[in-house]
Amino acid sequence: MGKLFDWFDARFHVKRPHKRFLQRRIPEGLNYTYCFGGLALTFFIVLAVTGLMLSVYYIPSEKEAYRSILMINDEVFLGWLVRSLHKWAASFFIVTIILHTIRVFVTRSYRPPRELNWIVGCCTFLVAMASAFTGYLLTWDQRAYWATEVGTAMIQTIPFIGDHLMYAVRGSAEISGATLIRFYSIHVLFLPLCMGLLMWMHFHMVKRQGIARRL
Amino acid sequence: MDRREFLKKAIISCSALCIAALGAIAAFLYPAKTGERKQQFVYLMEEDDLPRRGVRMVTFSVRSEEQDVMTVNRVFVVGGEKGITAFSPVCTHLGCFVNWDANKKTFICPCHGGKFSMSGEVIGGPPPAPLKKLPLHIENDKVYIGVKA
Repeated sequence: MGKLFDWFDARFHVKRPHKRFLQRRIPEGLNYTYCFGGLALTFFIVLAVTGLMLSVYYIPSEKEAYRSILMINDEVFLGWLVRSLHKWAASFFIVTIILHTIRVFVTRSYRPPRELNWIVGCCTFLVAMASAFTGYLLTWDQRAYWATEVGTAMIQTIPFIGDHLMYAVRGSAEISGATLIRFYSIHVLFLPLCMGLLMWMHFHMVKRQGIARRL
Repeated sequence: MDRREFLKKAIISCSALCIAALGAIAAFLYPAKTGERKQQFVYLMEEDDLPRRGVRMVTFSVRSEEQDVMTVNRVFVVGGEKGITAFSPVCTHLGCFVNWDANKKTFICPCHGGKFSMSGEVIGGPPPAPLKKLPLHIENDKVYIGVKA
């Protein structure tokens, strides 16, 4: 295995430029609570892979969406498993982000020079929540419909621009096929793109600033 | 103009263009307004079936000509001292459908516990406004309801 990797690395050169990242000093006294961020990344990778797989069969249209979900569950080989993995990884993604945030908060790792990384982390959390919200509608069943009805109606309560904002989010006056395709596009294109960018910023700063010394 | 100044100006103009493009992108993403939906009267029930006293939930279907789809809607027809009123079941809080609780004589929203009296007034919970009244029209012993479609 080592020889194979060395052969690959002698041509691809991945080890040396990342040496500082792969072989860096970490402060003493770290414990397993420092793993929540990495766990969240793991769940994100699971989400990305299963999401790519699901997108092959899912049809984001008013008439076909629910049927295509049934097909993924009942007809596609291991479809039920991929869908379940996506669903559960989504929940655990949010949970591990919250746990990671609590750890950073408790150890005061947000203090200078890491304020910007705290802000980027918060943005990551918002994008994760938005992904969860838009993904929820895609099953296109009663629960999804009413959750989105209530969730988007909340936007309307924003003063002055609420009506326009809700109309922009729904894509029509009521929740319809236009909302479904809008949410699908946001869920599979816009938000993963934002997430990728934010995560790159997050890890870049972790790499440059190192892990905060324990209190 | 030296090179440094030229580059500075070029960067500023490009940034301004990008910001202008953001406006265009936002306008692109904002959904096109479909024509104002017109109010139309659709058949609801026979006049003899109207509740003299009490509440009745009636379902009816509307055909939206623009989108060419049939939608099934529901409405609460309430008979009281002031005559017959039709209430939209849409809770004025966040848009869930309310249910009629005959024992408590209250419309209760299952989402956040909004409560409305038989005359549609808010008597509890978060709703900011009373239930919306829908116009009724009676012609040749048939009751029609005015909805936007």
